[in-house]
Amino acid sequence: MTLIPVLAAQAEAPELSSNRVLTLGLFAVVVLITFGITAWAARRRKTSDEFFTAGRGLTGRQNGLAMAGDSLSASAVLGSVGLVSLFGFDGFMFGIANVVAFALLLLLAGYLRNTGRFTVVDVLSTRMSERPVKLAGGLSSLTISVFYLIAQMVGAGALLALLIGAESPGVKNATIVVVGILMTVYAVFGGMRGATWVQIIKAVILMSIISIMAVMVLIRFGFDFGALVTAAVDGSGRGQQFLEAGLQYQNPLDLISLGVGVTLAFIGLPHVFQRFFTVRDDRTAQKSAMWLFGIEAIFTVAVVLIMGLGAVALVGTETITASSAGGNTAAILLAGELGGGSGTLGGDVFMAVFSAVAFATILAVVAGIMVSAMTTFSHDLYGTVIKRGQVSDAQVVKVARVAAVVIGLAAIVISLSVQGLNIGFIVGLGMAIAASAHVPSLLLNLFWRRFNTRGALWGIYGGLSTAVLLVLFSPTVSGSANSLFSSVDFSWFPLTNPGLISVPAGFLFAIVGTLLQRDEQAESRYNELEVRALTGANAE
Amino acid sequence: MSSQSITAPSQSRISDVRAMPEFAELRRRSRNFTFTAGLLLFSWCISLFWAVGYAPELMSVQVIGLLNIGFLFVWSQVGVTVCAAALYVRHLKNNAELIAKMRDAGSEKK
Repeated sequence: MTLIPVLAAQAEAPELSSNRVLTLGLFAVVVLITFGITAWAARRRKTSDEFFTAGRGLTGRQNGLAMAGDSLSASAVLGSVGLVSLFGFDGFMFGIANVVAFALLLLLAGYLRNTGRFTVVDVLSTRMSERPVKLAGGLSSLTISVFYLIAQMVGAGALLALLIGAESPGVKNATIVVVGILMTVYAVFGGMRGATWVQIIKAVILMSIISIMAVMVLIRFGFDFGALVTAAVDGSGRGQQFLEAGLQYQNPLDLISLGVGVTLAFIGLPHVFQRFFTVRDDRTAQKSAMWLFGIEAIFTVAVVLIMGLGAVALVGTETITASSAGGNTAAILLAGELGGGSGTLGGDVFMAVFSAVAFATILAVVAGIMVSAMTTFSHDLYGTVIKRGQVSDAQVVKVARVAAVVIGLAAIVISLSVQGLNIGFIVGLGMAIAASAHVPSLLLNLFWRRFNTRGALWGIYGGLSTAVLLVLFSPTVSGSANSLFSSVDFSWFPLTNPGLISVPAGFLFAIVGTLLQRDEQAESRYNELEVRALTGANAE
Repeated sequence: MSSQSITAPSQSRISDVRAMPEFAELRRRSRNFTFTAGLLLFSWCISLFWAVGYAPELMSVQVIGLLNIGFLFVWSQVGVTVCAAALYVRHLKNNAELIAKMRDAGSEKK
């Protein structure tokens, strides 16, 4: 969960890349390719459907790859390999929670596609008062997207400084600005289609490279998994403990809280959710979710586990932690080792290629989040709340572009000002908001006839504020050495993950709010909603 | 404007569809599957986190070689999710005709 703080926290790393020219050259190639895709997508963009949903014409496989690309962010890929390499069992368990999350998303994919059109709250507003619900859902979605953007950008700054071996604040600041400008350009000119194809291509390259690396690790051990595990246990210096729980997580309640948050969050994350609207119908959405689930399962089981074990077996814990305390460079060090070792030509090339893929990953993920953020703003907040639906398609597209520029600038400024702080918890907070504010309302809307506008508003605002307040008063923000503000202590909530309390709170708010109001219209429109959710009739 | 809700079908068509016994059957099957599979997946995963937190000694009992109960429990998550996904595909396949029929019955002709 907290991958970036560790990234941001490291001060000095040993030289990772002795061939900086090659690495930077490959970065330039990545940027050129993404510009090419954006330019191609910009030529096709005419209608609002095309701009926000790629014309709803993606195939299940294409969309599944793009969704997998969204969830395989640089911090997820590098972080999860690092977690396995440092914490063994605990690191692997966290990866598995993601697989379960995508299986749950698969069960709902068809329903969600059938009942919405552009954004998360579309699904609710079909049977409720549109403006208040879209205001609530728009605000919570935008909050999640901005948190994710900041986390990705600050992480990108730290990661790139590490990758090109220049640990100066100048490199980090420059990276944040460049990434911020690039993501805005992708969103403004390429729209959903551009962001999607950048994501698809990245996902394919990323999956290929890490699969090759996993196979190379297995070759080193003669395809003997037992030998790999034994070598990993030796390399970890922890002995048998490496294969047991408890190296990373100590508080059992916090662990359960993390599990609740992670498994449910993916149902309500706007940048993943909105991809369901880039396909034609519920069946294609189900296929997308199936691809997403399959890719994630293979990625986690085969790749993360094998690469994580491989890194600790071949590189060793000491070298990994000397390079980055949180293990974020474990995968890159492993690449160097597989290429022939640090300092050799093969090793340098491998490291440079892997770094370039990590860079492409960052760009693709921020582009996807940006498209989601501008869609939420222009449809939910501008189109419905401000203009009460009295806008043309062209206006919505124009507002989305302006919003992208504003959000991009804001994200750059915020990222620059918080990058020295320990802000890694905000991805976890974003997930907690998705699980606590969105999931209760989404589920109750689909399966409870009595659910109504007041319930949705209470659920969204209640879940949102519970999650935010609990994190605010938790040790992640104050009171411990790793806190955001380590010098003060106003924490009273003992868990670092709010999910265990905030998700039930979200449900409770939604249910109590519903019971306080009787809304005949919402109940009668449920008839139509349910027919549409189950059969896809009249869905668009 | 484009984010407005989709063309509203007439209420009579919706109530006609809802009155069909096939719709009740589809509704029952879909709900049964979604709730059972969803609750099972969620609780199996949370029970892993619970067991790892509260019964670490049990989880570290070795079964085969270096593999302990904890690892088998983690691997079982993969098994359970893959089974659920396979059953879901079967569920969709078995009900494809029923869903298509209901979709036609509920759709406004364009």
